Amino acid sequence: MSAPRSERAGLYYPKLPNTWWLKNPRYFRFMIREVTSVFIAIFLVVLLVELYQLSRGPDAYAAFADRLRSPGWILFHLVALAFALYHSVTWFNLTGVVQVVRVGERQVPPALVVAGAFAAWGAVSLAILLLFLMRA
Amino acid sequence: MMVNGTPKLTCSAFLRDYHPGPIRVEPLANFPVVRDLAVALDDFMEKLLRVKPWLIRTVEKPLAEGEYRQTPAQLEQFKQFSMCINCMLCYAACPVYGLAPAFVGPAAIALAYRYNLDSRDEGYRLREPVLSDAVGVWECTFVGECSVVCPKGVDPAAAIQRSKVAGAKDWFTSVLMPWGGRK
Repeated sequence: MSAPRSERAGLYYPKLPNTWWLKNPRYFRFMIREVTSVFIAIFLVVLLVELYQLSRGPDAYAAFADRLRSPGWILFHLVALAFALYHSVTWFNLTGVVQVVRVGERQVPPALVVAGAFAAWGAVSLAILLLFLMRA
Repeated sequence: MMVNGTPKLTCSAFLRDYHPGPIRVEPLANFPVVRDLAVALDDFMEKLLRVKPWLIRTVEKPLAEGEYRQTPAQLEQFKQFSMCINCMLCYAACPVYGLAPAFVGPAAIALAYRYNLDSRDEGYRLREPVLSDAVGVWECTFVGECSVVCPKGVDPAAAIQRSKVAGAKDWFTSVLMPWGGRK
């Protein structure tokens, strides 16, 4: 955040209370969305450690995978999954606002842009799932 | 003003909509208070001026050549953003402006975007340093409340995010393309 402004004498500068995000359900949902990033970041660190253990050999990886089977880690992954889904859905819902798609002189309706983003997400997810099932 | 904690154009707020509950009227949030319900507007006025919200031409056409013409499709591109009445409700709704008052803010950026989209305007390069500044579009975290409270149906949040996309494209072009992508 930027530096505070210089305050003029004779004026009252109200301060935003630390609980500002509890006053409006939209502010609250915004803050929840910001918090989801923390869980996704932790998940990515775990994933990196997992890859590192994989590079150390099958025994090291098996030991690490075993540790991830503890109830605490399973609960963390469930929460991270829910947050990742919330973050992704809200992200795709916003594409209609951010991305203006034009065909000739006409603007594609934002709802169609959002639907396209969800369809692409679904297709990529399905492709990865199929790849995974074919390997298994 | 703030009515029951929400930024509101009080000239178009009716008591019947609040009856019979209590009504709490406060000065517009996030602005320094002069006294009672009056707030100081200097900060907003300075920011508005900074984004140069007027038509900028590299070379002015002589009057004899007539007006700058525009098709309805070209007008449609920016019309929504030109409906702003500078009521500053979006600033009162913006927690980023409340926490970091240096932020250029929703209405000023929406108006900069409006002129950048205008087919008659050539001032993009002059506004770009203000918009791409750390206190410009990148300060925005897309809470989106500015667009919710706007009484004129302007979508400042969209203007800011689209300006981010334009600014990012500009940066990539200048770094990746030979001669900064300029012809």
